[in-house]
Amino acid sequence: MSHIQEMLKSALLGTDKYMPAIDSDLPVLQKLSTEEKESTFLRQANLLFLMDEAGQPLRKLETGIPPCFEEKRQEVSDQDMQQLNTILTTGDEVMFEYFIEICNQKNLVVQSYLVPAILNKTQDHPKTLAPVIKACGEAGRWLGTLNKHWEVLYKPAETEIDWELGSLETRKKHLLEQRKTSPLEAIKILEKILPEENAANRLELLDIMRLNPTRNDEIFLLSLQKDKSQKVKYLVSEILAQIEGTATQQMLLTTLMQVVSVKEERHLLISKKKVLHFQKDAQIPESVFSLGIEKISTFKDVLDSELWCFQILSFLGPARVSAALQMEEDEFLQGLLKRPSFKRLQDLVVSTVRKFNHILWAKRLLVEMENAPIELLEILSEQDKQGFYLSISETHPIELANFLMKEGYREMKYEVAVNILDFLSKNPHRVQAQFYRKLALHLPLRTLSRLQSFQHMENQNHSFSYFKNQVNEMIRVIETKQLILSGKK
Amino acid sequence: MQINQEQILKLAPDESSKKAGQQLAVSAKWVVKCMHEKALWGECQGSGSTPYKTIIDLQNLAFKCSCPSRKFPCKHGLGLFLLFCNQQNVFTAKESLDPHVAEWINKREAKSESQNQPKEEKPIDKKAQQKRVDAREKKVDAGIEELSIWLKDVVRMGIAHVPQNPYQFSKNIIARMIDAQASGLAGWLKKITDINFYQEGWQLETTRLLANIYFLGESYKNKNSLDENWQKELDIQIGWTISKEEVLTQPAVSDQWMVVSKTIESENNLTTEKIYVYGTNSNRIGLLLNFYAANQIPKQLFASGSMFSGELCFYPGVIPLRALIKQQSPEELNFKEEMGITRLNEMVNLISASLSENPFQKTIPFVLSKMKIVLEDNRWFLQDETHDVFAIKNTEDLCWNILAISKAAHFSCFVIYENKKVLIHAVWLNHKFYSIL
Repeated sequence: MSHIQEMLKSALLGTDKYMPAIDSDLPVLQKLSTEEKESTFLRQANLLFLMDEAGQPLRKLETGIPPCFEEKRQEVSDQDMQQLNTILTTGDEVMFEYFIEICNQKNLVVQSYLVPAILNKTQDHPKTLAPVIKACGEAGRWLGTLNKHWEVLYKPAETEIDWELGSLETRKKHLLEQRKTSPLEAIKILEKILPEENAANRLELLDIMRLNPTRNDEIFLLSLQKDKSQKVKYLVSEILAQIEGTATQQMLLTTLMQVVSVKEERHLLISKKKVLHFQKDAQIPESVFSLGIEKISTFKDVLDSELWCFQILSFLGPARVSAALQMEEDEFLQGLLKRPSFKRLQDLVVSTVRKFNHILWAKRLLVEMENAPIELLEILSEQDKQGFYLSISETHPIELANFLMKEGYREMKYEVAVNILDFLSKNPHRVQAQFYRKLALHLPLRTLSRLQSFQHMENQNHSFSYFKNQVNEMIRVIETKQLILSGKK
Repeated sequence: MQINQEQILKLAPDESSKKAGQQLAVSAKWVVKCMHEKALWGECQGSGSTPYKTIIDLQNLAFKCSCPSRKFPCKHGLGLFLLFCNQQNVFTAKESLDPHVAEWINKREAKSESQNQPKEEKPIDKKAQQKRVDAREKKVDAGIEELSIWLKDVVRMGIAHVPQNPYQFSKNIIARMIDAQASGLAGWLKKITDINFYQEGWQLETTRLLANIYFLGESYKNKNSLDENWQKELDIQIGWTISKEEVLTQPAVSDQWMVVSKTIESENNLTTEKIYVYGTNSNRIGLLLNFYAANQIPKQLFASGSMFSGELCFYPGVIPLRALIKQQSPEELNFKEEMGITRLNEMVNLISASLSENPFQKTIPFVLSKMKIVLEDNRWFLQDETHDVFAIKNTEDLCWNILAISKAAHFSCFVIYENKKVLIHAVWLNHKFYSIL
């Protein structure tokens, strides 16, 4: 036992029970002996620990840490790094995502000293992984090779599918690829795996069959019509209805003709107009309901036949139904819009438009509907969308702002921004603080003066003072954004 | 004045001030923003009708604000300074100071000058003074005697039970030492409660502290047989204070001082600020120790990584470390290629020498150059060019930060040795300074 161990044994047990045995090879310690054993112990312990500390040997370690990989991209400027540091210390998620986005846009990398903090943060927010990894550059990749916690962030995406271990997303992605390149191969895989999956997964995986369905898929899809899950059966029917000449499509078209007919009516004595006429007591085969079509209308003012027609529309799509009724697509939509039942069933029409990416109907609905859902914008081209922003910003400013904020960091038009800000000044609690910060990133610089005018408005209302606080924060975000944007490359 | 956002934020008294300061670093919030080589000033529109007037002394960093906040610096001071750091272009450059700014700055300058002037000595009643000293010495001697008995009792019974209630273990004797006006000894005893008793090694640390305290008490008893430096050293260790005036009579060391570390600890309404400065020419390290009671305003504000020219007077002692600033003026940060020690064996030799010279020195600061950080079996080390390594005390997260900063290349650093390990406080390389703690 070493002298230190001896001392510690004695310290733990007490000198009454055990006194350390000091070898004669340390006469200097023996010299410290006194009549009192406690005093002797304390003196000897002090000197021994000092000798141990003062005489510590150095160790050699020939190995080291391999140097960092060479970085070819330029680093973010010192001033911008200070901004990033502030963003990280204050936990400002909105500004962090923006900073990383701009950093990648400018093809810059963050300086290495903040890379650990960023990688640690990303472990908790894997959603932002790809842009963050890019912004961390070679220093991040190098640190990933050294730290097992960060290594996982740098693991390449799964290339070979492992049905046992792969996530649903990866499997879906793999199946979609198969569906694009060799559709029959995708069906073979689905036939093999579907019996082992639960209903929710079956539904997710079968969704890939929506991609260009053909007659070759029919047998497989028909086999799934006996699936236990109602949702799976509905999906299968939807896909079968898309395939030209399938029994499902034929059945739906026949039913459509049974429930709705087109009559020509004279309009202003000179022209004729096609009007939809729904059969009040139409009888349709029971097999139609097995596709998932609801049998009875639960709305007082909606006929069963109307409900069936709208549901069949969602299966077949506007183009096919219009053609079957020998109407123009726009004419058919006008017919539907004139029905008093339209308001009740408009959600079905909107979902059909989105499902079939029907741009013509989407535009028409955005104009005609009183409260057109903002989701219809999603299928429009950027140019078409711009035309609707101003009017929507007057009726649905929050929804529009949310929609615009989803689409990158593009600045909104000044007039649109003003409508949104004016609405918020009257209803500041409709959104949370984070919304304001995010919104500020999308506001054009011109709105700064508008924001400043809000700051100087006299209003004792409690809500307005909350809004003024948010305005102050928005001004800060805009100024910070300008600093980041003007940062030296 | 060269100061960055991180350094400004380190001046904030708390997290909420930091956040509030950042929110005020907006040009639109300031109706007046002016700059001059001596000061910055601005007027911030708050909720009231009159804007708050904020001034920052750039020569000898200090803040003044007309807001009612008792925090120092307040959010307006931080906000204005951050705005200056981020957007200097929004400030109006002034050739002369505004009257209210000039008044404050002149007052500060005058005060600083008067402090440097030797004060008129008041007549001292030497008899009464000696009487007070004698009375205190008696109290201290009695306290040390009692401490000695307590320590012997502890080692007689053994320390196995200490982890069960470490606070209770030393509570009474600490109170007794405070009564005996031996606050230094009370401070040593408090270190026992700071030991992590859940971690292996507490036995060694506890025994070492007990033995050291006993040795200190015994040394104090025999101090009259020692030289003057040792007598001063023991007085300080026991808790005798030395007046600032006396320290300022010591020979001054003139140098360009780099602020290599600034740490703040708060306990029972008392804030202790430790600022380590490194003389880039003399290679001397000084510790500026400041104590603030609640709401007390710091006299000087230093940011880590900044530099000043000035004279330091060191407290007397065996190895003088604590110092006072006699005179100072700001200086641009200037990194030398090589600072301090470049070999770890030299550091180990200095540790041995320091401990031999002053065994009561528990921490020893060093400035090291050409160091690398290395990892072996989840343990971090400093490594020099000869591949000698020395254990690091920093947490794992901080070690990864140091590695990321250095990219496995050589760097300079400020470290504090304690108990066979070094704690890295700051790292600098490629002309950039990084605070680690």
